[in-house]
Amino acid sequence: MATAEHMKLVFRLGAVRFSLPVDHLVEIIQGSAGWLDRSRGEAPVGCLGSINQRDGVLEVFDLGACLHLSPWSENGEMSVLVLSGTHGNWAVPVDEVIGIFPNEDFSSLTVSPLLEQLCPSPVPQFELWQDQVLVCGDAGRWEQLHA
Amino acid sequence: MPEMIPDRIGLFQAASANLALPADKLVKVLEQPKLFTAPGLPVSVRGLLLFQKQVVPVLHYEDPAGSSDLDPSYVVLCGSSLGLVGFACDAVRQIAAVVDGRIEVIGNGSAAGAVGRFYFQSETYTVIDVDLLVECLPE
Repeated sequence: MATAEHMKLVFRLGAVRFSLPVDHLVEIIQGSAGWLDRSRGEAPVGCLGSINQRDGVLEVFDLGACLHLSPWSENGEMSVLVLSGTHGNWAVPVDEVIGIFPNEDFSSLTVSPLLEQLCPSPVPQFELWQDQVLVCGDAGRWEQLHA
Repeated sequence: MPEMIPDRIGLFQAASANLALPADKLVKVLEQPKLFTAPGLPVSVRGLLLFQKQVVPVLHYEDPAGSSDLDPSYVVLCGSSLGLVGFACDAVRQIAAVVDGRIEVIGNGSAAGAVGRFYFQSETYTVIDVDLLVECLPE
């Protein structure tokens, strides 16, 4: 049986599908945009607000905007990924959680040298899953976008 | 004939310009390929294409604000000094011998990678030096 460290989450943000090692993930929570507390005055760049979770408060970031994809749009229900970070857990709403799958379902893809030259560092990495190209996610790298 | 002008060229119709690409650089023409996108792509890249387990950029040529329709009718894959590169186009015309048309060499200051104009059957095509183009694309 596959264990958590041998699994990846597949999710969608706008038109882009991502994979993310499950050990970057703390939990997935379902909620509504009404959960978001936007009362904080000076929120960090890309911060949508915060949500109360158990005994703590999680800052919720717009990963799409941080990655220069389409910004997150509220549409009632939302899935929120809670990610582990160096400064504590943080959260991002996503458009669709597709599922969690064993690592052997994914195969890495090479990137054209031209694309490596054109893209600012870090160059995106890709993998193939069920005939779909996924962008390889890294919660640590994403955290730096708003740290 | 100047060295940068090939003997045979592939002719393609695109919204922004009619393109003439060196025949010896053509790898494959893909009909209605599915493009995808990723974070951090520069404006010169219209989308990405998966070809033989490699992720290849498909360029906007001369039209960075061009079609918002991600999936073009065709993508012409070419080899370059920096690996594969794709050009989106609307129609595939033919492979022509340069001697069957009229060639005009153009100099610096023209569009990226353009080294000439090819006049053929009442149409004008921009002749692209693929290696020159990929070397001068903005990051």
